[in-house]
Amino acid sequence: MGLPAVTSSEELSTRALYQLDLLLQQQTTPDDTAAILIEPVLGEGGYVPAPPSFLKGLREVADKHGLLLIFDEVQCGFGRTGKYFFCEYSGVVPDIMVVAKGIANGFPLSGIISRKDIMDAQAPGTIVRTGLISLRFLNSIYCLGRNLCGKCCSLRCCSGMRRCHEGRKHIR
Amino acid sequence: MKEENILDNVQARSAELFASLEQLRRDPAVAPFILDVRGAGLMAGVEFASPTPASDVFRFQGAPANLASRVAKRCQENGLFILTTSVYQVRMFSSAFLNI
Repeated sequence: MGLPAVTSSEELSTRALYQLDLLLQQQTTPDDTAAILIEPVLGEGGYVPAPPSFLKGLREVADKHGLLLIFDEVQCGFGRTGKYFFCEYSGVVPDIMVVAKGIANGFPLSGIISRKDIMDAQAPGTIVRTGLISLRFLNSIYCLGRNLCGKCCSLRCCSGMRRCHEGRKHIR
Repeated sequence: MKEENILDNVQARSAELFASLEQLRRDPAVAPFILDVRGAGLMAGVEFASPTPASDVFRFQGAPANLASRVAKRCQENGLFILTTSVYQVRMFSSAFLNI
């Protein structure tokens, strides 16, 4: 944005949210927009954590216009940032969260976590086909892990996750 | 994760990692070449100064080229596997969860 490096995160959030507001007025109207998708900690874009004020602003924009807020916690979820999920730092709750990587200690598992009315809107098989695993709740991972890899370490990892039910706490 | 107190361990190791990176940033010999130290927990990134591109407001002509990948290469030669990320000169430290 061409601002000095010392600019506060609140100021940066305000500016970025203004740009988002313009985007919804000029480029894609809220009626034509389904969701806002964000990595709360930008991964391959340079390890940039979103300030809490920005995530809170996104939640407000999503609520105002009836958009879904989707957090991609594939890289920053499951403990890597010191909380189960990075969104816990801000307290902002997404409508959908996608997870992978740390979920199974390196075994290629991924999941989509959301509430029932959203997951029920998807026709059966529409996600599994792409290689992703559609999960209503995290405990499904346990069953899946058991089917795929028996007693390997990913099962133990998932089992621990399942007990905690952490993912469900952080979804609307 | 609960039994091994992984989240507490991440917080503790994170404090150590960021303390050492900030210390490096205060070192007058390298300070001019470090634009930013950022991240959360054990997702830590260091952005180095770069002599290019010309239109970048943070461009620093006196900085060596390709610092991030050169630092990463040297770390890998010494047994520390780290990667670079983004179009800028960012080197990322990431926890041992496999980044597939």
